[in-house]
Amino acid sequence: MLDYALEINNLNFKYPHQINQALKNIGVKIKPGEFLFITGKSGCGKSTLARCLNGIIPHIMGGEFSGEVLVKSKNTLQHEISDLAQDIGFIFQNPESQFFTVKVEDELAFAPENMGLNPPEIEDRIEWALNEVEMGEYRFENVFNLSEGQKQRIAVAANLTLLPDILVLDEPTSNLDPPAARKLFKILGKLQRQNKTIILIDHRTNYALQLADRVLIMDQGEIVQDQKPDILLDEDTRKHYGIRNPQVLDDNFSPVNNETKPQKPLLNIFKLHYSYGNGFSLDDINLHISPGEVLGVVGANGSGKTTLAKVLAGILKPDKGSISWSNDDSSFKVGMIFQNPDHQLFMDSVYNELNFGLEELKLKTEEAAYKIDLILNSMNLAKLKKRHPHSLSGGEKQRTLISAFLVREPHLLIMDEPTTGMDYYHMQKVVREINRLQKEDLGIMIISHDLEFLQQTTTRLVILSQGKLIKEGPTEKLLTKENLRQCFPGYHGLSS
Amino acid sequence: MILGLTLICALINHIFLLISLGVGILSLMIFSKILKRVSTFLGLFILFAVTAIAITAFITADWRYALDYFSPFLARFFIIISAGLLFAFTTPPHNFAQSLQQMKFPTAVTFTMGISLRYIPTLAGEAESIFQSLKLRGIKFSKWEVIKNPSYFYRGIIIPLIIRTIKISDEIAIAAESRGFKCDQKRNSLHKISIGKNDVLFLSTLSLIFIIIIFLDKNLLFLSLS
Repeated sequence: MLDYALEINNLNFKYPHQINQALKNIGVKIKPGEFLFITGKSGCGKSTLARCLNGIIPHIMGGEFSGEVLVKSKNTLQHEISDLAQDIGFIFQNPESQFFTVKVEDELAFAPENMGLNPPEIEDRIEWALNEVEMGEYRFENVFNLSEGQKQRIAVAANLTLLPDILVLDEPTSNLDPPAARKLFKILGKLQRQNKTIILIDHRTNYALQLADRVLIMDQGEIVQDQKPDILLDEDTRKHYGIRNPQVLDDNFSPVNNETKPQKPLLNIFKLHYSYGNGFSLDDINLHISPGEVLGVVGANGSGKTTLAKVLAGILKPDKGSISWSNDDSSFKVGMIFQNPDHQLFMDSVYNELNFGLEELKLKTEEAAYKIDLILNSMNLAKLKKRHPHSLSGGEKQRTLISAFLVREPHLLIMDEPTTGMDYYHMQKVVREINRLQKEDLGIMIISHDLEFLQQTTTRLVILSQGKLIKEGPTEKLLTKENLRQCFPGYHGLSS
Repeated sequence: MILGLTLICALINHIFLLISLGVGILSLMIFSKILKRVSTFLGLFILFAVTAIAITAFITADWRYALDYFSPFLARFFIIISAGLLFAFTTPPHNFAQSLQQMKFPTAVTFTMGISLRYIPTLAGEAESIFQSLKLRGIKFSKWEVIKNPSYFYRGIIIPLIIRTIKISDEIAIAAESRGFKCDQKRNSLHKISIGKNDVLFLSTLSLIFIIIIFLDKNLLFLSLS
């Protein structure tokens, strides 16, 4: 038996046209059957390291590469990615872009077909892999009909059909709600007990505490900590390296944001109903939002959170019920930031992005320019105003978008999963922005699964389940372990 | 296949034969229960045909001429379009890509084809998100607006769509190689697609009809000349 499943010696890497090294002197040895968790701030190099593990770097993404990566003693420099595929499986953040066919069965057959295996052998492997991820009954299902969590489990199964000893997962739970994430991690735990080596790269730390044997913390391209998982419990280490708290609801929990002045509601939603015509509908939603309030919307994937937001934003027209606004002067009442800001950035510079479509508002040019400059300064974007929006980092894109809506003076700002894949450090920046916007008497609505973030920003929560509003109340009352466990089985922890 | 053979039949000159061929394909559509789904496309075609004839008739002020001039052209067009639709709506994309693969087409071609068909719904979803974003910024996207202000169309839709497409295709490429895909390798497939009894029957009936029609076409031509 091999001593190490993976061996990385003195690895250095620099992306083309970049000044800083992405990876500096990385040396790690990973034993067979080990569960390794790699975390750290955005841009710390953890995804780059993952890409080195199966040869994506240097084979597909080039750059200055030195040192060696040995996958079961095979040097990645001398073996192509497809040669290594039988030893190391790779699961990506977005299940949508790792599927090549429309049927679950075909998807699972893809990898063994590439190896030129015989149909009976492929048949056996599909059967086995589907059972491993507890999706046996979905063999003939269309992948478009699966939930995000099920898609990600199929992605794991599609890698398992090559019988790899090592699995690398790069932020596999970003698009998943907590119950789906829990299910995925349960399966990973089971695979580890079958002596698979598992390498998980993520910002979410709560499952690592229970599953990982070893935790690597990275910062600026270096491994700065190589420890037992307990290190995640140390608050100073977490703050220092910008790492998320693994036990949000466990200790000294209290909501941070209590500032609400009682005010006349900004809008009233009365008996709202919306149906997609495919069986799912929002039903009988009654809700009000006040200025200066931060409302959190919580619920499993598919519970209707985004649909509700889109109805409020005027993208979808409700079938029944009413939304009444307290003041009707502006035609742009709502700004909404989607989960993926790439869909919402159109222009060639940050400045033009803010200016985009303003002529429709009939603002004078000088007036608009003055307003844009004011907002760019307050949102800390003045330095970036000539940059191309698509060249910005995730957080900067988000700020550009918020600013683009602020120019239109909205009454309500909706953010859909604003902290997906965000570390503690960057999340804190968003928290500060929301606190500032709140003071400007804007109504803010946040859709999120991120308990730590909800805890620090929201004043009130609503919980949706299957298109119905099932609970509503102040954050301090609703954001408790007991309550969440009641509303979503499996919201927190593996043991529950 | 159907498409290629229809192209040959487009050489036929007689309007009567063309129409009977069109009716034949239409009945095949009804038989395969896709008529409802293709009706939008056919409706568009009919709209186009009527406008074309109407405009020509208006310009030349001669209804008979316009009808005579356009009808063989439109009838051919109709046959090609409906044969194409018949194929597109009855063949699952995966099966098509796989058949090509078994016909020893290069993997690069079949894989790309399979993938591009697979990602049409994904791209449609991307486009919808982009439309919704534009709506949020107060940009209305009526047809008139696109003609009046083409820069919105370019900046607002084409640019974000291209950026998303490039990003997604990058991810797909990496994911494919990670699952052992290589362009120059010999692949196997779980299910073999083979030529069945129905296929042979269909192919031979079709060939027979073609021979008869071409024969009739030549003879009728001869008759009409004499």
